[in-house]
Amino acid sequence: MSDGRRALWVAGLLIAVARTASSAPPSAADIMVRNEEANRVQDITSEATLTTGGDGASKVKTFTWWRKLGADGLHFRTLTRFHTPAEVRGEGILFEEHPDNENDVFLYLPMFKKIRRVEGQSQSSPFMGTVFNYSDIAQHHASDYRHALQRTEACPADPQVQCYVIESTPGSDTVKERTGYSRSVQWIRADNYMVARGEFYDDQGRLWKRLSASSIALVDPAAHKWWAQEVRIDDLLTSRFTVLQFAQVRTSTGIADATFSQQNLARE
Amino acid sequence: MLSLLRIVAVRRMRLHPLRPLLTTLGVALGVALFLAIALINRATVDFFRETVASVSGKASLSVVGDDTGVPEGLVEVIRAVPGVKSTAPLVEAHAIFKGASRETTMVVFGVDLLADTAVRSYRTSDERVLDDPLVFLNQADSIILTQQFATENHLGIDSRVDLMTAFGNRRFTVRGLLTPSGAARAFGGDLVLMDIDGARVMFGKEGKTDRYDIVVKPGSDPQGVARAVEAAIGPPFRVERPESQSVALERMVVGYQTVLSFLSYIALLVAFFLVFNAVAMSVAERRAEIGVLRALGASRPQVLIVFGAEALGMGLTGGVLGVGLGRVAASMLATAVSASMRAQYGTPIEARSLTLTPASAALAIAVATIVSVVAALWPALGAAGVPPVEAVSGRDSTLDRRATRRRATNLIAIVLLACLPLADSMAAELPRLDRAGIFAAVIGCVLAAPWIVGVLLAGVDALVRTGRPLERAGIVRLACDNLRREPARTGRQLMTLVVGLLLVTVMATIHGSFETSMVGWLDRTLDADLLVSSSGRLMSLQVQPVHEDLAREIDEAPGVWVANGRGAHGFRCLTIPYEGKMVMIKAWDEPHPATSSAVFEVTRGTPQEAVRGLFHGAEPSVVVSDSFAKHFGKGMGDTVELATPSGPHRFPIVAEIVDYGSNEGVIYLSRDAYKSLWKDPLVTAFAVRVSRGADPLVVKKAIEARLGADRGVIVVLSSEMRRQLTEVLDETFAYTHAIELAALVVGLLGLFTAALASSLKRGRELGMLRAIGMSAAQLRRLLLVETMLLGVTGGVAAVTLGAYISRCFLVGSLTRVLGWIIVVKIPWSSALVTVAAGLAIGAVAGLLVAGRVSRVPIREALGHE
Repeated sequence: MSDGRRALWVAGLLIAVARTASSAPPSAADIMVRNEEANRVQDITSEATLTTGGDGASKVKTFTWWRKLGADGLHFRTLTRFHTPAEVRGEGILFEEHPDNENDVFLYLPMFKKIRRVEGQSQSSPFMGTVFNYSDIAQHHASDYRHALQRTEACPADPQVQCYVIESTPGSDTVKERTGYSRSVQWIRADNYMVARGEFYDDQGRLWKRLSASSIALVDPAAHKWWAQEVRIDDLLTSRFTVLQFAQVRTSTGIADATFSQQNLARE
Repeated sequence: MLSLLRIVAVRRMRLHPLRPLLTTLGVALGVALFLAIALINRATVDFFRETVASVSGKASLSVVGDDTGVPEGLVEVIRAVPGVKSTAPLVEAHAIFKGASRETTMVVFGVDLLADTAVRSYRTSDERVLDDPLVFLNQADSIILTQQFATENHLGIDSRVDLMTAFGNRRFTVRGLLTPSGAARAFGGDLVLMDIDGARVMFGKEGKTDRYDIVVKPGSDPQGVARAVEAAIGPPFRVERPESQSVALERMVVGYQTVLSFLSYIALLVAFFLVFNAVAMSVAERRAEIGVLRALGASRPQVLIVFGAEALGMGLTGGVLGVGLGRVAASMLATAVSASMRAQYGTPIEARSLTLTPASAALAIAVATIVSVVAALWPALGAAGVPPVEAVSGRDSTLDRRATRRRATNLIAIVLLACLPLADSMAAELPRLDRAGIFAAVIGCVLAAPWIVGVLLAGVDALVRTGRPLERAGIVRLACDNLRREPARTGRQLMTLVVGLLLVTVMATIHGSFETSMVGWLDRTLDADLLVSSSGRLMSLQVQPVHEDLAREIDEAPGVWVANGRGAHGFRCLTIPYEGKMVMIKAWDEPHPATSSAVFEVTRGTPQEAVRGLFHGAEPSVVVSDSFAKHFGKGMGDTVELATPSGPHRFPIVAEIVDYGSNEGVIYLSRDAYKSLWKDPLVTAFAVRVSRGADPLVVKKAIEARLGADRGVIVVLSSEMRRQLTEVLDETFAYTHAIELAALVVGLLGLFTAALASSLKRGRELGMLRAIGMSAAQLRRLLLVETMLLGVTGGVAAVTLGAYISRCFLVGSLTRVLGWIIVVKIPWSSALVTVAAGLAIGAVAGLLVAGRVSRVPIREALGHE
């Protein structure tokens, strides 16, 4: 075989391998890394509504929400400031993620003009009476879990799009303790890697919560970042639900770091 | 041997079942009381341990200070100590809840609900502690109740509840309900949970925390972490293990439980004498039968075993019965004892979980059996020593020896009675001698009672002979003769009655002495017309401390005598740790100029020195109670170093005074010094004097009108304080009435069985009286007079001996345990009641016996024996 023919044969083989590779689904870990990246906006601001119900009259709270990616490009700081109802006006929650997973959560109570720390052990507990727990609110990191691709199927609310069904189990007891979940199964959209649906299991293996995300929009076209503007989570054990709706979402507006300080938290 | 038992013991019981039956019942009652008190004491300890475990949760250490708490900022210091996993603050307060049917003292816990689940667990039916934490945490009126309490008081979510705070009565909203698990089990569910910031504001503890509970990191040594935390925080704050908190609570009620246990031992002693009495009677009646048995070849050990077996049977049956009765009695007494302890200690105490374990049942049966067998030992030995010939012939060569024995008995009684003060003087070094002394004295009383009764009967006899026509007093003289002729028999009849009445006298004397001492002290030292506090009972400090700023509003009420710019004079009472014990601090504003220095009842120094040292000294000085001086060996002229939140401070002691505020000791200091060192603006109450000529009642109404009913502040007249104190003491001693009743029932049983046996034994003698002309009615009267004489003289003997025992117990044992000087006061009204009770018991026993004996035909009676 002449050198020219040999080179042509190798090139053809490489192209064939590449084509084969591009048609195979990515690995579960890869999917979850892409999922984490899909909504990792530099910063985001939004007006939001939190509705909790299922055990009587629904309770609605409105708040403004700021989130900014830290210098490490992985961990966020989030500030939530409540506006209504009157009993919670001015209350604020500052959420600081740290690389060691020891997240800091601070709550500002205007009635007492005081900042209170939410202890780490309480972060698997419900987030302020909603069905979310504190860890649901924090950014999930793919590296904290072991992932397995179960199957690929049509997305639950959008049959036109394929979803990867990924089972994730906590990589350590610390993660399990922090989240309160023994495992989760998530439907990740193949087109934008956003979560379409999630099922979360308690430590006894019971299906505990079901999450569904809708109104997923491209909020930062330049960086190709997406955001689910409505997230509903149902507690299947208590029949309670919480719906989180975002409006007026703005990204990459250059939120100042001082926004996420305790001084600012205490500023009503 | 078995056939001997069947023929002698079982046959006898079948033929004459009443006495063994009543004796068994008496044993059962004694054991029931013993078991009931043991169960209640155990349940109280369990209650404390459960409460501490529920409150401590996962915490293995706690940082505590005194009643004024620990600075809030200390949390960061604690958190930074290596080995500390998490820490949760706790603010504790007491609040009175006025329910539809009763007032409940509730414990208020202010916890950091955002951190507390790391330490304590809270559960609701749907696993959410709070319906809406954002609303709950931001509202100072938010509270969580236990479902148990809410159900009992018909409350639910969004119900409004009034609780007394540092700023008067405030209305709270129930925003959560806890199921009875975790922390909700503490204090029997009488718990109010608040967020810590709300609790701090409402209870005047801003910037403070009563304690920090610490969870230690896995793998860390709690002892090492405790040492590290203690080094980091420094005095006066200290680190405790949850077990030591439980021990502290248990120590709080130890004096109370000692009195209860003492009563239960007395009940056992009553059972002991019942059995002794029954067996002794049985031996006396069956002397001839024993002689026949001995003549037929029964050995002395066999005779001993027969009587021992009888006692064993009564003990075993009584024990088994007593276990059942004891469980019932415990249920009946538990509520009264719990209420009594709540009143005394001002904190929820519920001795509810009465658990009768097989071990405690077995112990009760074993105690009953041992007590019965030991009680039977002496008379049974006497039976075994009966010479056969003498017994069969009816002669008794021991008669001569009996007089000697009686004299010996009297001597032993005197020695045993004398042992009580002796044991008391040595008990400080050898605490076990305390109880031994009491037991020796009780036995001494029982032995001495027949002698006292003999003297009394001689007196009655002499009185009747000289002062009454013979024909009218003939029955009384005959009765006296009968009783005096056989002193041993009379003594046996009296045993149980005297012990029962002795118990009544001792309880009445202790109650009366406490009341006299405390009320007298209050009368002498309470130099104020009115006292203003939050609603509750000031006398037992069951009030919520209020802010000192309230004084200004009180001063503005018409009729309040304002002098030197001050009308309402605050005082603050709190407990602080001192040398391993909890002592009381009483911090007073300088008294009103019109108040005499008699506000202190001084035992060392002078009242003037006390006032001058406290309020006008160059440096802050203190006055200590005599109980403090006794416990810690520090009195006038010494200095005392107190760990204050501002650091350790040494105070010279300028006087010693009487004060019943705490049995561990009381330290007085000026409130100015207290405020500067403890940084505490709260006061327990205000003392107010009314202007000259003003009516205290009118001023009281004026203050109430000014402060408003909704503030929950109450104004009491000084005379009402006296009533409050009497109420507290009455509640404290309420449970003793049931015990006294049981003792009287046992006394009645004892006298009835003894008198009946004695009458039956005297069948021939009584038959002879009938034969020579005594009518059945006269015979009934004779027997009735005999038992009534026994009852009344027994009552007098019990009062005399009871007064002696009480005096020794109060002056010695209780003074040492409590550290208080109690003025011994024998309530003569109670003494009269005791004698009357003896008379009544004698009358009832006499009627029962006379009815039975008078029905026996003369011929049958003459053929007796």
